[in-house]
Amino acid sequence: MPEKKIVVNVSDTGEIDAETFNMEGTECLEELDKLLKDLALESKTTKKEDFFRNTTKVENTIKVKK
Amino acid sequence: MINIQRMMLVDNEHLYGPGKRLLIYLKGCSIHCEGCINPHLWSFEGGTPLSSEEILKILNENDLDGVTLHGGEPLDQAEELLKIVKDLKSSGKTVILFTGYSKKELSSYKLKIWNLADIVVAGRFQLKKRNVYLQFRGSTNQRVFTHQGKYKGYKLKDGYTTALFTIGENGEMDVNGFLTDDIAELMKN
Repeated sequence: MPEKKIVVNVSDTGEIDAETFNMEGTECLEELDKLLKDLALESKTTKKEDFFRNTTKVENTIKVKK
Repeated sequence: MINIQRMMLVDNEHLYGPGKRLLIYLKGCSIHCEGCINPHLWSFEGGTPLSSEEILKILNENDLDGVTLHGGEPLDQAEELLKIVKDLKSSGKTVILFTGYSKKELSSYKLKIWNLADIVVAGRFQLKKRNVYLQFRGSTNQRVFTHQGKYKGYKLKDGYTTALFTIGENGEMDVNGFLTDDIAELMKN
């Protein structure tokens, strides 16, 4: 199985975009939550079409504490 | 043959350059920038030899665009590295070079590699000029050259930073990229 990956982009204005790769079902949400919950003030998650299949790709936009 | 610490397949333009690439960490660095994120690569002892043939085999088998040379200091192995860069370029592959040297410091072998590379990210990392929101660079004094080749005129995308977390089979996490202080603090916990 391909390696599980999380790519986190942090802008200089304090916004975070996170994407997961090669994770199944809700696993991506759990991993993102573990990684980012201490940073976020508010979070909006968009499930892409792939979320409803086996391979998951989720975009997560988070307003980070400054 | 060059001497390397490790290599990995990457696909993150912000950190390593356009396209799918083979990221190679060369072993050894004579520069020793204060605040370097890879001081474990300073030693020239140990490492693994790697040839042009082996690199090209990996590139072709995985349909990669080229290599990104990181370190350590790649140009501290200039004589051997020049042979490899010539082989890669003559095979139509791209080369992205990260170096702590500036152009005026370069001897002939080093300068030839610089001139063959498609993108050169150059200059010492300076801790007092650290800025994690730059593409490729860790401090504002470092410069990016796109003087020739496939990426000539490449436009940098500054204003954000990227951290790449890879989760292994046993749950261990490997982190690449420039971390903000917030995320670095989180990773300690």
